[in-house]
Amino acid sequence: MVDDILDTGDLDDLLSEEAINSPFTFYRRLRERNPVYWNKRWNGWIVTGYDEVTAGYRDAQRLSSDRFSGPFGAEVREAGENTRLLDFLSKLFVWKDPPYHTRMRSLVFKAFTPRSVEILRERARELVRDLAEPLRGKERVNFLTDFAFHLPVIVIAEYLGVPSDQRYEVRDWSDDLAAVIFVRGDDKQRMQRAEASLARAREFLTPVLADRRQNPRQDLISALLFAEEDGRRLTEEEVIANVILMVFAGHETTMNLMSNGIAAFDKFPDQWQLLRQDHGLLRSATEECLRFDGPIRGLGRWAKEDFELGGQQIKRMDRVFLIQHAANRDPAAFENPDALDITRWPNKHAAFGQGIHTCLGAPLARLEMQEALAYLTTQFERIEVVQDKLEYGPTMVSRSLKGLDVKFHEA
Amino acid sequence: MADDPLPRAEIDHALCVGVGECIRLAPHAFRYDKQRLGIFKGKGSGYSLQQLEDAEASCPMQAIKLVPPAAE
Ligand code: HEM
Ligand code: SF4
Repeated sequence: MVDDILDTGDLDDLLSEEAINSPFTFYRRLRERNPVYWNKRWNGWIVTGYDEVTAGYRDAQRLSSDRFSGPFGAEVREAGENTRLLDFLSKLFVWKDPPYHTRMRSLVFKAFTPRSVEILRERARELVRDLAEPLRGKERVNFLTDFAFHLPVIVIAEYLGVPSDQRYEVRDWSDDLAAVIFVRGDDKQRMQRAEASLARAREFLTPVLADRRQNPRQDLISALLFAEEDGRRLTEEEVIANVILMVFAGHETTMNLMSNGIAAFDKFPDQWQLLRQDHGLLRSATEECLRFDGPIRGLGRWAKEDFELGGQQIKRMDRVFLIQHAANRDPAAFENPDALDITRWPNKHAAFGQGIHTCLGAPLARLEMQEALAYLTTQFERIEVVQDKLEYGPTMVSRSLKGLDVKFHEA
Repeated sequence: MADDPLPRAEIDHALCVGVGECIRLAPHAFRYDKQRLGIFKGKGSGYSLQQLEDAEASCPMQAIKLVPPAAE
């Protein structure tokens, strides 16, 4: 197994072959060295212990998410001479602290009610059935591009109320914009692409917004336009920013959850059989996939004051990278952490983060994964990854396969 | 209908991580205990069924379960 080959790599290189393709040995070595480890090259703290990572996520008081001030701020400002782009990015509440975050999140939450998400279950079920058809009887299909890509984008597009046949367009702007923040360094070209995407997104969304203002529907765009708190509503720019945030927070992550999940079941075929026999396990199986190989490796914060984390002295303005992917495999928190066990319960994984920024889309992501697993396990007796080596995108943030060739064996 | 008793909420502390979504959504039904885990403090009024349902569905750890008021 790939995860066991390398264990001598450089602990400071977060983008090494080992860190990217065999992260669990890499994180284990880091955690064993120190669960809160100073990384000279990244120039910040790398947190890999469960207690420390979850404490970090919950401490929004001292660990800031703000990308527009502190040590990340300079980088972002330098890269984005374009004030329109910066202005747009600064409306994304995931990268803000209270009080802006609180106000924005509660307005968006009003629109994004869990009940409105549950309405989507029927539709997700239907989509899963349609999308699974082409998987049948083939020697190999790329599960990631042929199935996992489509489901979340269609679901989120329909939920927002944008035409789902324009999903490639939607995917393109979300990719370009996500690249700005997720990838570091000051690549001018990346900024230019992001600007162009933002312009296209605006062009695309403006008429939709105008229409919903006149003829509100049962969709998220309408709900965002009319959500109100203390007499205040979202501005048009804020609605657009939040729509874009939903798309890029929700599509790649859910796609990766499904692909990483299939790759995990391939390594633990008995768990696939178990789920086939007992659909009462769909909920815990979904949580276990989130824990075992979730879509997000880790996320950055910076310290607003001096404090201690896991026995280390964090200094004001230090950067802190919280790796939930590592926390979720910490033997201090999970018994037999490197085994996929779909009966595991309770399962306090940190795949959705914790604290005030905990993923708002978690009910939607869970629903899609549950429906996908429900149908695929009834239809396919066995799944087989038919690819020698799994390769992952070289980023610190997302755990994203480049492709996943699978043969689906029918019963 | 108006005085149909509201359900109670049970919080599984094996799951709760104290994020506090429940408290944010239904401040009169939930509070933190000493360990900063969510607990149900509801006395049957001061909150709505919708608030309880929203809390149940929004808890990131799926730790909240609504149970119908005991049939007397
Ligand atoms: C399996 C899929 C998903 C995973 C693993 C995931 C993970 C996360 C994580 C870790 C955060 C916390 C960010 C932070 O602490 O800085 C987050 C926030 C967020 N997620 Fe998700 N997400 C997923 C799916 C979705 C979906 C489907 C949506 C929406 C449709 C969504 C919308 C959001 C939003 C709006 C936030 C910002 C919340 C805030 O800052 O208060 N996510 N997500
Ligand atoms: S929302 Fe859930 S995890 Fe958070 S405090 Fe309430 S019960 Fe606990």
